[in-house]
Amino acid sequence: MADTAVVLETTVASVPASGALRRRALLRSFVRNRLAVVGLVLLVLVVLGALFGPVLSPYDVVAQDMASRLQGPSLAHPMGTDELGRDTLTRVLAGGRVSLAVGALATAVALLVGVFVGALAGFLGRWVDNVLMRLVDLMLSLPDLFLLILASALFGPSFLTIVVIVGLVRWMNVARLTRASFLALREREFIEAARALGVRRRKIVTRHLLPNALSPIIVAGTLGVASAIMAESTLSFLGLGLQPPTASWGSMLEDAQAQIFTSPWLAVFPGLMIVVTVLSINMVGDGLRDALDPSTSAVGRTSRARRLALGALPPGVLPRDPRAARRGARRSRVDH
Amino acid sequence: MTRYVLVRLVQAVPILVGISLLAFLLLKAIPGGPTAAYYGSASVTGEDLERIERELGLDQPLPVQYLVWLGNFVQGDWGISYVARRPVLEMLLERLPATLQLMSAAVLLAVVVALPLGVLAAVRRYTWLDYTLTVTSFVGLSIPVFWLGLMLIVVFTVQLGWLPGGGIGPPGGGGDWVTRISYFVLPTVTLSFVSVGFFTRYLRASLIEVLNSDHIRFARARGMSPRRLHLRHGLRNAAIPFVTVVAIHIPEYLVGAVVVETIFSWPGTGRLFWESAVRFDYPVLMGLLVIGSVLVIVSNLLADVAYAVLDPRIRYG
Repeated sequence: MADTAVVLETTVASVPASGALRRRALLRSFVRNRLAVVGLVLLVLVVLGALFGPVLSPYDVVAQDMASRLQGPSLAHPMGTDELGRDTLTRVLAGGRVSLAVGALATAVALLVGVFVGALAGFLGRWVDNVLMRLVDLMLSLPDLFLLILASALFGPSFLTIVVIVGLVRWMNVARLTRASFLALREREFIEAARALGVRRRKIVTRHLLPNALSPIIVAGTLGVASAIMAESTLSFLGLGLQPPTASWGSMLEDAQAQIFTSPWLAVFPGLMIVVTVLSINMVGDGLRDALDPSTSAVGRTSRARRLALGALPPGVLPRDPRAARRGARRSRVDH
Repeated sequence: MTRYVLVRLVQAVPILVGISLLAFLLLKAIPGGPTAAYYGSASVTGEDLERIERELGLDQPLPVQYLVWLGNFVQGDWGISYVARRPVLEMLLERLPATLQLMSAAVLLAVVVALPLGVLAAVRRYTWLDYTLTVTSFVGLSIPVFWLGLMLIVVFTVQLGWLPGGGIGPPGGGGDWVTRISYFVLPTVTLSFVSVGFFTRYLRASLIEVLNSDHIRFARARGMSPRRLHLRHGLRNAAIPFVTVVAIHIPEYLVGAVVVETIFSWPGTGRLFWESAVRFDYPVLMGLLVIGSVLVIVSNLLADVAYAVLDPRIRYG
């Protein structure tokens, strides 16, 4: 997917800083990023609308009203009604619950599998690393939509299977990021010290390695929700995702396809919701990356050769490009 | 160079074996197993099934079955479609040209549009034009392909009636070339749309990186004209990673074609994939999965080779 290349660029953010101070710095750099704040506001609106919209709406999500079928947008029905007389706005908000839930849960699956595989490969190294990374290569060479469609045909499309299969085709990126972080962190002094003190391996992984490897994982997880929503809606649009009466934005668009010549508004609004949601998540993810990753401000604008030469050094000791410092944070975020 | 290509080819072998193993195991996991094709017909009795299983070697141990299956696969025996009752490979080859036409049109369009946009954004970086392009491509990357296709049909077919919203040509064939091309417009635009945003962003980033480098600064100090500076020295260097990205991106078009061909009733492999999924025609799905995976591997290889050929600074052992 398009976002993988960008995510892979993020390098290990691994300077253990004191909690509160670091959090405030992160918050400040996130808030300064106008696009990210706009994205967050939009996203909160979508989530709140999906959660409370169907409850507050005067219309029922499933009740049919044949007297007012296929009406265009009006004051009573801002997004019109469908072929069974149901209010499209109410259905769009209810569909949002499904789409967002699938997106979040599928990403949780992807994160669990990805972090587990990546941690195993990065921490144990040797043949385990080799085998697991070949598995990642294999999974990456299978076109994801093909795999999704095939799996949906094989295992049958239910809410649970969709969540699992969308998660299972999207963990590779997370695994690579986790592995890369672990490999870099493994040799650091504080891990060495923990080992020398006789800390158990499990504890080294969960208490020392994982917390310091989280930044790129958080970014990948955020962007992953957007791509999971996209995957689910594509699958549902093709009629191979969630089945009626469960409606997501994708399956609403599938239904709308039949009425496209007479009632095009049915196809407009669920799609707009996907665009707004995916866009806002991407904007938040982008802002998070800039806030979490110290290298995007410094390394991002040095030349490739210099980046390669400096790649081995921890991000904190990178000499800042003087031009970058002058241009300020606003410009540096567009550059990577 | 030859050695480098050979090494990369050899490296692809384990992945190919993995894919074939996966395809084989998935075929075994199909409800009903490999003989499911014969269940539908009334003339097949239980005895026949046993005989067929013996003939297909299904009483052999799994590794033997895999090798036999692989041998057949390599020789072009990709099984029989459950629905059409025809050899899978034959069906795929029949549908492939339409998809390849659509894909090449879309790649071409994406590159032709992204090239000037990316250069413009990089040359006029940090201006309102750059920000507009950035925001536009950001929005573009968030639009689902299938929804874009639907909206294009709503506007250009339903409302304006300018362009046909389905099929690869006029029904029954014929028509002058303008008519024929008109059928390509909407599917091609839909399929290339996402990558235009992606390519533009990528070209902009890599061109800015080049323009910030020392040899460009030196050329500028010598008084070279901006046009020559940007195109001759900037774009030529930035084009190398750009070509690789386009090559790596090719499989995305095959995936996108599933959606686009379904919406626009395009008679290619993408629509075949969708039709087969809806009808649980597993042998066809498996064949297309293998074709798709091979395309991914080939494109990655192509990208690496292109990189090595285009950039003389890189020496591969």
